[in-house]
Amino acid sequence: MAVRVLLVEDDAGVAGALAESLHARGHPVTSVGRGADALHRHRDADLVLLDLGLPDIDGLDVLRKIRAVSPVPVIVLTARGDERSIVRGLRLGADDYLTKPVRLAELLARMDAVVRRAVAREAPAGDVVRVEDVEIDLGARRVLVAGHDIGLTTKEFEILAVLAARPGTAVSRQQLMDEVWGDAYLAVSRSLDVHLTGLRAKLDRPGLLATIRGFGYRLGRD
Amino acid sequence: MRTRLLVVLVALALAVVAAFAVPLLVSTAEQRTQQLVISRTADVDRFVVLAQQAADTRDPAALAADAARYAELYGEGVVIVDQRRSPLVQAGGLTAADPAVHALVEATMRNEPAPQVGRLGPWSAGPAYFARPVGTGTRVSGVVVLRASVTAAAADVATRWGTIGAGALLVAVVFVLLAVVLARWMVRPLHELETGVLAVAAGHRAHVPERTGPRELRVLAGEVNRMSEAVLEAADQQHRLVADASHQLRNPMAALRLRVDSLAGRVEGDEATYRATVAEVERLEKLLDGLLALALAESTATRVAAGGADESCDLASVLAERVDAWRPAAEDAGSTLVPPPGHDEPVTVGCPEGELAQILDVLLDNAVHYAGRGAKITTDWESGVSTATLVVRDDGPGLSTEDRARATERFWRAGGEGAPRGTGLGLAIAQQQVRTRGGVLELRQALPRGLEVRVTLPLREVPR
Repeated sequence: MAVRVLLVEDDAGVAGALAESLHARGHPVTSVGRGADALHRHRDADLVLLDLGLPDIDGLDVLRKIRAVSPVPVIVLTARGDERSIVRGLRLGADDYLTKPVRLAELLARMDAVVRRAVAREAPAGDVVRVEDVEIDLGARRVLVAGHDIGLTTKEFEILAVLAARPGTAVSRQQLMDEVWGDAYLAVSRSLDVHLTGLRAKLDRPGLLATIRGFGYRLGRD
Repeated sequence: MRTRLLVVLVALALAVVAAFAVPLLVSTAEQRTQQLVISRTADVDRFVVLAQQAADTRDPAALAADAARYAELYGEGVVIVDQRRSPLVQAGGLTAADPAVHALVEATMRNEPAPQVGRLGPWSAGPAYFARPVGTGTRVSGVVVLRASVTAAAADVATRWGTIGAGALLVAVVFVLLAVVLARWMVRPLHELETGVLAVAAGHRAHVPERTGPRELRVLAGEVNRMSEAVLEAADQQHRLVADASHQLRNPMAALRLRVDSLAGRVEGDEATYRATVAEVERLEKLLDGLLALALAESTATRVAAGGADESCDLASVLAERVDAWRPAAEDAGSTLVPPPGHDEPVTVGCPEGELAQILDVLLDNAVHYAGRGAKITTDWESGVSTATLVVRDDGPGLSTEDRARATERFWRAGGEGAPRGTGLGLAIAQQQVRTRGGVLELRQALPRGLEVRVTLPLREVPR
């Protein structure tokens, strides 16, 4: 599937390499070097690859402005590997983030996932969510791993259900605590950690429940 | 040093106070004794004159009346005897038969001098006796004996001694206070200098006050502050250079990586060279990440030392999560990563979640890649009174004692220079991060074989 990519990147070397690599895989790329141009051009794109260090506007501001008017998938591409930029990016509505330097294979995989999710967003998820060999039956409140019921506690199931409602999407801790406990106090936060540990142990699918440091969790592998 | 200085100063001050107070006490007591002696001697002299007159007129009635009045007025006993030692007058409860009186009469009859009255003290209680012969030197015609009470005089002495003692105590207290102030004035700047120098040694900014203490120390304090500034600035510039350089290198690295990846499958005939190129690019990337992480860890250390962060996380949860994330990698490497024991209560340590995860990543990465095929890697934690210790243990080949000592140095790699993988920065970064949070990272020989890494971090109270 060809994805029309809007590449917002001021470094000519990176922009050139990205444009060529994506082109070679059949994705038409429009490359702009300034945030202002990105705000004009994002309507024609299926996906925006956004660098945060732009010469005119801060990348996070560009993201906020795009999100205000459009649900187009945005992957933040940044040299700032620090947690804070990543968390702010995700809070502002980025669908994913990648730190430079990035492997081409990983970039393509993430792009694919984000676009697939955007398509899936339009069709509501059913009562049963399947991730690999894990089957989460939201209606029957039952979780089968490789066909066996793993016997989750009520809280563990509720946490998994919140994540399963948005498979492959980062869910913030705040949101998890709000939906499961109805508040977000520190004591609850500690208890969330304990329940997640239990949940991971029962699922016994290493890496399936990923932590996004400083932000939250995601069900499904990268 | 302060204690010794104080001891010397206080001892000196007390000695000076004592040197003034003791002679003063003695002379006060003597003065009062003298006063008593003079007044009673005058009384005795008067009775001698009266006794002489009585002897001349052979009429002791006036003398007896006088003595009785005296005894009544002052409460002191008077005995006057004639030359045959028969009492003419006995007043105030004193009789000639009293052994003390008798002895005095005998001595005085022989013209022996009357005994001296000893120096009075506040505790003097026994009466003082005064005796005088009646008549001229060669012809003693009688003896006057006076028994004086010393109670009033002793009370006077007590009052004066009390006053002097209080004064001396006051002066001593003032001296001791002065000594304390002086000692502090001299020693405090030294302490502050010490703290400042230690701070510089630990890589922090020194703030030695330059306005207190002796002039020489003030100058020294200023110099220490300037030195600290210079040292920190140099360190800061170095960190910034590393951070900036590795940050600036990210864009070219990203472009290089993408171009190299694009070549995959298009290089014909020289696959080996291509794979080697990719491996070198990956190594460069890791080195870059490592340098940036190290620069970040060092700048965090400065921030935390300046009283910055107070973050905490649940050690057990982070451990469980990181082990979960590393299990696929361990399986690929042919080793077994055993999940840590479950937990009900959070183990809250004073380290942000992100940093603890980074530390764990370094330890698990090392264990997975260096323990070798078939190795078993276990993780655990131990809660102490005020610390919690994270343990990552493997039963791989382990490290020699020298290697364990050097393993946390920058750019040290197991297997020496040219070792196939790793940047040699992982443990250096982890150690910097652990230290920043007031913890300790130790490498130990695991039993029977392998390596055990222990990270001890301070525990935090969980707000409820």
